[in-house]
Parts: sequence; structure tokens; C-alpha cells
Amino acid sequence: MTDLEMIKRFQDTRKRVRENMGKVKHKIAVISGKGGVGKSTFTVNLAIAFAAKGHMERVGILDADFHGPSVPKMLGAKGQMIQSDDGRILPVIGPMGIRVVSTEFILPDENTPVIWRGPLKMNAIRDFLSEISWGELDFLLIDLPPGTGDEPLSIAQLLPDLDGVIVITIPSQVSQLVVKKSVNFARRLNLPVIGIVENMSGFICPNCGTKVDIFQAGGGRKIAEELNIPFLGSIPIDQRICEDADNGKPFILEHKYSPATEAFMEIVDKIEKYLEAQDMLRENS
Amino acid sequence: MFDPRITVLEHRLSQVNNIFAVSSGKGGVGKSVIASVLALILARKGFKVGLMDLDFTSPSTHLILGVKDIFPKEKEGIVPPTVYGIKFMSIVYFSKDKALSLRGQDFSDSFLEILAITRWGNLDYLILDMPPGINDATLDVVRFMKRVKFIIVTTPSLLSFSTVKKLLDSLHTSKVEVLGIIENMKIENSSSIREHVKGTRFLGEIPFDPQLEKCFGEVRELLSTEISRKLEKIVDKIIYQNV
Amino acid sequence: MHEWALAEAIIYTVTEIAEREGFREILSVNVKVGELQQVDLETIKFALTQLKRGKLEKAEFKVETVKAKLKCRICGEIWDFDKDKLDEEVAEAIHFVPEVAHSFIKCPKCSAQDFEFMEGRRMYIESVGGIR
Repeated sequence: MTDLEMIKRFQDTRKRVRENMGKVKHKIAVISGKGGVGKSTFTVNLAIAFAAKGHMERVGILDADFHGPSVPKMLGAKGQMIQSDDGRILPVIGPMGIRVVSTEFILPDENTPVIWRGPLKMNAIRDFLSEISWGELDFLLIDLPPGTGDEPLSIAQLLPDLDGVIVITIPSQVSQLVVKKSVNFARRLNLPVIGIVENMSGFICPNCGTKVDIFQAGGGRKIAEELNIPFLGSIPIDQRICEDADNGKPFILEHKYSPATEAFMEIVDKIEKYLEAQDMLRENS
Repeated sequence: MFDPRITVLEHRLSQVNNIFAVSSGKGGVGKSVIASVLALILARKGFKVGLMDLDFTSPSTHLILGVKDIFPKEKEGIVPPTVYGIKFMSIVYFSKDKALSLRGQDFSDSFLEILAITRWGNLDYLILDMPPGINDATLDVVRFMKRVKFIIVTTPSLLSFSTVKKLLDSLHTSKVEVLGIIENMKIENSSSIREHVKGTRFLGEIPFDPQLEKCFGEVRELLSTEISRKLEKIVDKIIYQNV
Repeated sequence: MHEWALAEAIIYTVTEIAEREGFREILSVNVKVGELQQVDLETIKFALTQLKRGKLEKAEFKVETVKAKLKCRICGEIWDFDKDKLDEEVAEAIHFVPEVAHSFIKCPKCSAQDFEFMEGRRMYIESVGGIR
């Protein structure tokens, strides 16, 4: 393929994605500097929260983390995607009517890891993503592959008109460097950072029992202030979050009155306010 | 003289967990659309689903789903082809596009024949699209599928509902479970049958969509209609009471 | 092959009869198949020998075809079913579901499609013999 053909192909794919996402009101990408910080858990619970707040059947999740697609398992969605005659793919319907598409669904089975190589892999994933017909949605959350490198970038580039990115981090990783990388990631895509979430869920290892030093927490807020980006909040450690994720039961539904859920819902409020403000700006301009 | 088909029918359905018959008192109330979309939604929710068109004289689910040029596989019987995640069975595989008029016993014979040779395998739900009213199909389904549960479709018209009442009476007499009533083709200011429904669950209202015709044969379009969204809620009501 | 499905149906039914009638062992089973079903006798006999178990282990199966006769409900004409007059696809459809003959066959005298199968429509078990 010549460069020109490559560009042509990319543009075609983008056009297709734009058509298929035409009726999605808000699109938010969730990113993290590293894997294992609870990015997918956050995404799933955010989707549930939106659905519960009056958006039943109007929330979608795109699980684009092809290294370890985990959204279907966490959500307890085992359904099958339907492909229509024109090749477009209809998402699976998960709990509370959440539309789910995961790279997991194109794997032969649960135990087969994706080991496609380089450009071939990217093209296959792009083709797949471009065929998803989302229908009418209020929110689409995109769980990107971890890191701020080329892989998450080339997927995010494919998605038109994202509202912004949410950065998930954990206290031990909160350093100016990591957060700066995320800010740069958003900048390269010309997207705002909606905010940082300090998540500690991955911090107590149920197997080795490593404990977190609570006093490390709060670093996120400081760094956010320094970099002049919004700080959305911290979610306190709760081992049950991990257990719930393993059992396919979203945390905020299972433990409605826990400190973690409370903190989480405050974050959801902030995200909603951000989106409302954006809507108003858009209307005024 | 023993009819082996009757015995084998039970075996053929032994791995089918639920059988739902979508029926109506009179024709033209949108029953086949509802049966088809119901099956699609269940499949998208991750259930193993079968759809069988029992309206032998005027089958239409294949047109709603846009099924063409397929034929069941022969494997120690016949295996229904999978379309859009649904195992789909219809007499049109055999009658092609020709008219088929069947009198009483002929209906029963073809009903038994198809069920005796169809291998559904493991299904969570088998949806039956019934011909309208009380007829051979209703009687045979009740006679040969003891576990069947009915979903009744009506329009807001009291005329339609009066035919539903007869169907309900007849099902009640035969001790068949009715999952509820769906009010289809609702338009603003139309009369409501909700308050007339007594002793049976009212499952919900579905709006009239003048554009629906355009979606026939286009599953993606069909599933993005308001009708499908409303049915999704109804599906939840039905299945979470019957797990 | 759909003959296997029919054979299976016969086995299930005879097993049930054996239970109900208190047979220790079934020795003979007479099966009639309608010509309309166009069942391949060799295949169904083979399937039966492969599927028989338990009380049916020693059973001999006799399978015979019954000629199909059709009678017009309009003019009363009676005629024989002739497979060779049909094209292959139609014959196959009738093989699966004989009633679809109503879509393809007409009365040779008055062309009506309202006819009945006098005999030779379907398969049935005529008799079962064994030791109680």
C-alpha cells in the first residue's frame, strides 16, 4: 500500500466511524499512564451510574483495550453482537440496557490472547471499530488500551468529536511525569482533559497483602493544581471492588452505601457538570 | 397405530428452557414484528434464542428479518440456520414463495412433522410467532407443548381487545400461563386498554411508527426504532420474572 | 439425513410403548411410511439398527412404503402421487413436510389445490410384538 492509499483508507474508516457514531451525544475516553490502575472498573461503574441517572438503554461502552479486554466480564455481559447485511455490527445489550462492544467478542474464545502483530493488528481493530452501529446514545465511554503511547493514540484518533479524556491514576504512580504524559496525550488529539481520578482500588493485593501508605494519597490533587487541570476526586480503597469486578457485578450497585461509592458518585456529578457546561458553550457559539 | 412424531417432539424440545408463544386475538396488530424483535433483543442480551413462524398460511417473520436464500442443514434431522444470532425456522424453507392453504389436520400434520425433525439443541428461549386468533396452531401448541407461555399483543382498539378476551378465556380454561399483554400501535389520544386489563399482567405500550415499513428486512434499522427500545424494557419485565 | 430423525422418533415411541405395555423385550416392529415422505428405506432401516438399545436390542424392524393417494375435495377426483412429475427441489420440500404439497400439486382434473391425502401421507407404527 502506498502512503496515499494508507491515508485514503484511514479517511474512509474515519468517515464510517463518524456515520456510526452520528447519534451519540457525548463521547469520553478513559486513559491511564499504566495498566492495572482500575481503568476498566472505573469505566464500567461510570456507565452504570449514567444509566441509573435516567439514561437507561442510552449508554454505551467501547472496550478498546485489546490487551486485556475485561469490560464484558466486569459487567456480566455475555451476549452476542449481531451483524446486519451491510456489515455493520450491533452491540451486545448488557445490564441496564448498556450497549457493549469489546475486542473480546472478536476473539475466538476467552482464553485466547490477542497476539496479532503491529500494523495488521491495528488495521483489524480499526476495521472492527469502524463497523459498530451505536444508534442513539447519550454517553459512550471508551476504555482505551493502557499507556499514552501509539496504540491508545491511534484508536483515539479514529473517534470523531470526543468530549475529552478522563485520566485514571493510583497514588504510587502519581508523579508530575505520568500526569504530564496524559496531558500531552490529550493535547496531541486536541482534546480537553476532563479531569484526573485518583483511584486506589488496585492497591491492596488480595494475594500478597501489600498495603498502601494512606498518606501518599492527595498527591493527585496537588499535581492537578500544578498542571492546571481539574481534579475529579479520589476513590478510597475497598477490596470488594476487585471481588465485584471478578464476579461481574458493578461495585456501585453491589455496595451502594460505601465510602467508595459515595466518592465515585461525586466524581460522576463533576463529569456531568462538565458536559453540561460544554453543551451550553456549544449552544451559545 | 402410533404416531412416533408426538413422542419425539418432547425429546426435540428437551433442551429448550422456555417456550413463549406470541399471539393475538385478531390479525394485523403487529404480532410478527413483536415476535421477531423480541427474539433479536434476547439474542443481543446473550441468550440462545430460536424463532419459529407458526403462521404457515401467511408467514412473515422471514420478511421482517430479511431472511432469504437459506435452507436448513440436514444432520440427523434438520438444523435451523442461524440468522442475526437467532435459530430461525419457517415453513417458507419448504413452501418457497407459493401459497399454502391448510385445513385442520393438515396444519397439525405439518406442525408435528417440522417439530419432529427440527434439532433446536440448547436454547434459552424459543419464540413462536402464532397465527392470529384461536385456531389449529393455538390448540396444537397448547396440546403438544405443555410448558408454553403466551404473550398477547393487541392494539388500543377495544375491538381488538374484545378478541383478546376470548383468547385469554380459552387459554385460561386450558390452564396455560399468560405472561402478559402488550398494547401495540399506540398513538397519542388513542383509547387505552391498560385499564381494561384485569387478571393479566399489562406489559407495556408500544408506539405506532408509520416509518416501520421501511425497516422490514433491515435488522439494524429495525433495532433502532422506538418500538425496539420499548420492547427492550418489556423483555426485562418478562425474563426477570421467569428465570 | 432426516431419515435418522424419523428413526429416532420410532425408537423413542417403541421404547415408550414397551414401558407402558409392560414388555420385557420387543421382537418385531412394523412401520409404515407414506410415499409422500419419500423416505429412503435402506437408510431408515440402517438407522434403526444403529439406534436400537435395551429392550429393543433384538427387535426386527419391518418398514414398508404405502402408496400415496390424493383426493380432490372439489371434484372428487382420486389420483396417485407421482414423484417423477415434480422437480427435485419441490420433491425435497415435500419429503421434509408433506403438507407443502398443497403449494405445488393441483388436482389433475379441475386444478384445485384443496385436496386430501387419503393414504400414504405419513409414517406410523402399525404393530409392535414382544415378550411380556
